[in-house]
Amino acid sequence: MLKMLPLEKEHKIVSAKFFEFAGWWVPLEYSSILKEHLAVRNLAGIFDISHMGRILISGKNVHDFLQYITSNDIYKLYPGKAQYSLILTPNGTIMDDIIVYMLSEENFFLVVNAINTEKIISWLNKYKPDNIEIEDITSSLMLMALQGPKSEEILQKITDISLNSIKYYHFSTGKIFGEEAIISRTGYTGEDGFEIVISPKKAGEIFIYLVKEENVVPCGLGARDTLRLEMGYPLYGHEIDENTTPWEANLDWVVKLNKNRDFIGKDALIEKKDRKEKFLIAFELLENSVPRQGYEIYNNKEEKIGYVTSGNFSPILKKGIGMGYIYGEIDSDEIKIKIREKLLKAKVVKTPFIKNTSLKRGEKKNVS
Amino acid sequence: MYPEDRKYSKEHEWAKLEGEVAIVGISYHAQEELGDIVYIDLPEVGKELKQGEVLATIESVKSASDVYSPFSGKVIEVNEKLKETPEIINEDPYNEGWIAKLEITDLNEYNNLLSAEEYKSFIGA
Repeated sequence: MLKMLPLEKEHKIVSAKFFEFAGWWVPLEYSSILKEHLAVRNLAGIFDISHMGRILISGKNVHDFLQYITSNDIYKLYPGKAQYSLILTPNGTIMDDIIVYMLSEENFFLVVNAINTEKIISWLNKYKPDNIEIEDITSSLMLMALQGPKSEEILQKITDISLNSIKYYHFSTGKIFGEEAIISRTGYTGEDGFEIVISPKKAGEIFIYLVKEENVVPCGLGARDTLRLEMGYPLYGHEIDENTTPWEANLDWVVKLNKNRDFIGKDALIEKKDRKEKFLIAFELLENSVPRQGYEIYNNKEEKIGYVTSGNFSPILKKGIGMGYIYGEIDSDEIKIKIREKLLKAKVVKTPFIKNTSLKRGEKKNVS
Repeated sequence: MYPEDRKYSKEHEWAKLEGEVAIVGISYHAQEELGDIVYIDLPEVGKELKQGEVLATIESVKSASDVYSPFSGKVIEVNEKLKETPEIINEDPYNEGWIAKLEITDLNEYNNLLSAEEYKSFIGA
């Protein structure tokens, strides 16, 4: 049974084309992925991402519990601060990448990937002490993302929260259209913007108001994927999964081995630190075509050295870009991607593919 | 959206006869399903194809999709403009957005394709 979004009717009003994603029936695109992508880079786009899992965790020793479950240091958080983190298997591989929000001393809120929601909830229940409560609020609250350089200006018109005072990876609570909401300065596009947690009651009205705004375009998961790819952000099921360690996925910065408590996966991680089985790379195609997940990567001697995990056409660079794993380190940045039996030239590059986004231009960075 | 001066295949190509040559492209419905087209792999001129073999591959932001030859024949010309501006398939799939011209081997194969009416009912338009 496919899960439906509370705003399905509103999406249909603005001509969404739907597809199945992680058991959900969600908008893939409205007008065109390219137009939606460019709208987010230049103006603003509104995404309904209510398919993503949201979990409330509360109780007296919630800090200690989350410190054990996640790889980042929970004690860096304070009320109003959010943190990118990982949940690891005992083997030190990635079970999910998540965002942890600290609401108050005893209340935290996790956003997890849709495909992993049930898995993570069972995992949390398996390890939780008796005095910790786990509540799945995925279907009772909406999650929307307004992304792009014009986001603040647009959102400020309908909320009493002073958005300018919300720093990157921070959030605040207040009202939108009179309805209680959590607004965080977070996103998955590389642009400045916000994610909004709100009850479905007023969400339809807000969504329709926003899409009618001159500088806002409704955006589907198609554009969400090309936007994150241009930033080199990993996606579960592509760059990260239960066969991949944070070391291999270049997520060392989210692993705090020296924090004040052991955590699930730590021992395996220590052991695997210098034993990477694969190396994540990013590349630009030097010939016209489009790389895709699953395509093979070759070195310039035309020996197979790895595989593509994400690939598409970059609407900004106007060429094929991708990420992938290679099995050993290489001494040349010249590689080849096999596309329909031909080996096309590509060049290894550093991410992000797009450097000058509104997020990079703003001085609102404070990720930990 | 489905001009009557040509035939359609169930794989969503159209073919328009001009003497012994047929021009081939993809239908309005097909380009709409594909979304933004960003690249096309065109066949070599001179390539001989059987009905149903891959004539070209279209890359949209969403996916890579093969275009099948609606009949057997030999490629005598490809639309060079698509190399630089593949998006004209989205903008004008029946004229500027044609893909290739083929010399037809068996006219029956062409005649057995769907009419505009039949194609419309096939896609439920």
